Amino acid sequence: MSTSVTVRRTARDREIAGFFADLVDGLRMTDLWRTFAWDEIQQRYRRSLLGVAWIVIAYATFVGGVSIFFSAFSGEDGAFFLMHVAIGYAAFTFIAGNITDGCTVFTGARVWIQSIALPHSIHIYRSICRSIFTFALQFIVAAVIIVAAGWRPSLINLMVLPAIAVLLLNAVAIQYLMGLISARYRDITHLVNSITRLLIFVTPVLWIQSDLDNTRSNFADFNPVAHYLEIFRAPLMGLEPRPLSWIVVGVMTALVWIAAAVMASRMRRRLAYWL
Amino acid sequence: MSYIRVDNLCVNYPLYARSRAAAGLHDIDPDFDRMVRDDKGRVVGVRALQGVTFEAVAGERIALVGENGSGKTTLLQVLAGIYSPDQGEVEIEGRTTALVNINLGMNAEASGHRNITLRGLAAGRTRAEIEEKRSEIAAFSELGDFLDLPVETYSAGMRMRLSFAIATAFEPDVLILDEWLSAGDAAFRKKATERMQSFVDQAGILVLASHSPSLLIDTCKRALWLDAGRLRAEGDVKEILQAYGEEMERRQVGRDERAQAQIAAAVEARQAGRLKAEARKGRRRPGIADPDSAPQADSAGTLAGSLSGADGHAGTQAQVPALTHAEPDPANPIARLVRRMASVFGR
Repeated sequence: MSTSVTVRRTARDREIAGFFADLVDGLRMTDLWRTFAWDEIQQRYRRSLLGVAWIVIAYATFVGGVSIFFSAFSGEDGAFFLMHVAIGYAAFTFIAGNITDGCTVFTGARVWIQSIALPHSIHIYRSICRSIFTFALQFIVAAVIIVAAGWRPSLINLMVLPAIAVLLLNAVAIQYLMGLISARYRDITHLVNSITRLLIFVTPVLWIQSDLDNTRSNFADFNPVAHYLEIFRAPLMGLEPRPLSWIVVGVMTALVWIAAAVMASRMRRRLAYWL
Repeated sequence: MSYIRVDNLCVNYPLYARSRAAAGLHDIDPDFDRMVRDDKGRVVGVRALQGVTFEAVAGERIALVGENGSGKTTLLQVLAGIYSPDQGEVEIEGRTTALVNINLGMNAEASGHRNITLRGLAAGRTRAEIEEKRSEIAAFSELGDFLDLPVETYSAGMRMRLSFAIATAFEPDVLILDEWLSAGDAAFRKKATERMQSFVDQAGILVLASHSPSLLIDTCKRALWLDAGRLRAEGDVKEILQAYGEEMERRQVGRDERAQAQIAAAVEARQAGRLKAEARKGRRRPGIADPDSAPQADSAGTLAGSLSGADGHAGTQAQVPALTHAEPDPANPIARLVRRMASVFGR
C-alpha cells in the first residue's frame, strides 16, 4: 500500500492551526499511544510479584487507613466520610497527576521526539491513557468500598458523566501546557512538585468543606482543584454540585485551553531542541 | 512519485542555558561567524544550516559529505521532520523514515519484538501489516532469540541491525540514514548496501550521510557537500568525494600546524612554570645538585620549535627533537627525588 503523503514545512507553519492539527493527528493514532501507555504501565511494575495489583493494594490501604484515622475529626458519620475519601482521593490523584505528569510528558519522551516526526500529542494521550488506567483500578476499589458503605444508585449520579468529559478535556490542555513549559524551563518541574505536595492538604480530600468554619471554607473556594474534584465527587455521593464549582471549572477550562494554544503556537516547533 | 525539494533552508541551533559569554571566543574559534549572537554579544545559537537548496527525485541516491559539525545531521533531522526550518522551505512527497541516531527511536526496556510493533505503529502501519513483516525483520536482523530480550541488552551493532531492518521493512518512499551504518560488520554492511540498492530500484529516495568514501561510492550516485552549514558543491559522488578529500587534506595540514604550535606553546608555558618553581627551591637549598641547567637548554629548544612551528613547515622538524629531548625529565619529581637521594648518599 502506498498512500501519497506530502509534507511541506516552512519557517512559519500556521501556528494555532498547527496545534489543533497536532491534537487531531495524534488522536487518530490510537493504537500507537495505547501501546505506549501499556508498555509504560508494565515497565513500572515489572519484576514485582504482584505487579499492577499494587495499585489496588496501595489504594485500599490508604483509603482504609485515612478513614479510620481522620473520620474522628469530621462531623459527618463514618460511612459518609469513607465514601468522601474513597471517591475523592482517586479523582484528586488523577487531577493533580495531570499537572505533575505534564511536566515530564515531553522530557520523558525525548527518545521518540528526537528520532521520529510524530504528532507531539501522542505523548499527551499516552500519559493520560496511563493515568486513566490507574484511576480505573483505584475507582474499582472505591466502588467496592462505597457499595459496602451503603451507597445506592440515584439519577443524580449521571451528572458524573459530563464531569468526566470535562476532566479529560482539561487533562489534554494541562499536560500540553505543562509539558512545553517544563521542557523549556526545567525548574518548573521542581516548583510544581513542591506545590502539589501541599495541594492534597488545601483540597477537601481528607476533610469536608462543610466541617470547617467560614474563613477556611472560603479559602478552599479559591482552590480550583477543589472545584474540579467537587463536580466529580458530589454527583457520585448523591449530592448536587454547587453551581459555583461548575462555573469555576468552565472558566478554568477555557483559560487552560487558551494558554495551551498560545504557548503551543509559540513553542511547539522548538520542542525538539529543548530535550 | 516521491520527491524532496529543499529551498533556501536555514536552521539556527539554539543553545538556551548552554549559551556562553562572548569574551575570548573570538581568538579561539576559527569559524565564529557561525555563532548567532544577541545584542550583548553573547552566543545564543549556532547557524547550523544557511541557505541550503537542492532537489531529489524518485530513485535518487544522495550522499551527504562534510566535516564534523558541517550540518549533515541537522539537515537529515530537518528532512525527517524533527527540526523545523527557521527560514526557507522543505517539501517531501512520500512516507519518510529516518534513522539519524542509533540510540533513539527504541524503547530500551522493551523487547526487540515489542519495538518492531512500536516502530511499525509509529510508521503508520496497521497491526496486520506489522505481523506480516515481523518474520522478515527477524530474518534480516539475524537477531533470533535476542528479539525476546530487552533492547538495552543489545550491542550497538545489534541495535543498528534491528533499526535498519525495521526501517527498510516497512518500505518507506524516502529513507534518511546517518553515518552509524558503519557500526555493522562487513557481512551486514554488504547486506545493507544490497537492500538500499533494491530500495532505490523501487523508486525510493535515499539520503545517506557518511564519512566512509567506499560506502558512499557503493551506494550513491550524487553527492552534496556541506561546509560550515552551506552547500558547497553538488555533483557526481566520485568527483565530489575527490574534491572534498583534497580540500580536507589541505585544511588538515593547516590545522596540524596550528595544533602543534599550540601544543608547543603549552609545553613551553609548563616548562617556564617549572623553571620558576625550581628556581625558588634552588634558592632555598643551595647544597643540592642543581638540575636547573638542563631544563634551561631544553626550554630554549622548545621555544625555538614553537616559534618556527607557528610560521610553517619547519615546525614539525624543529620541535620533535625538542620534545624528545625533554624525556629524561629533570623536572620529574621522582627523578628529582632519586637524584637528591643520590646526592645525599654521595656526600
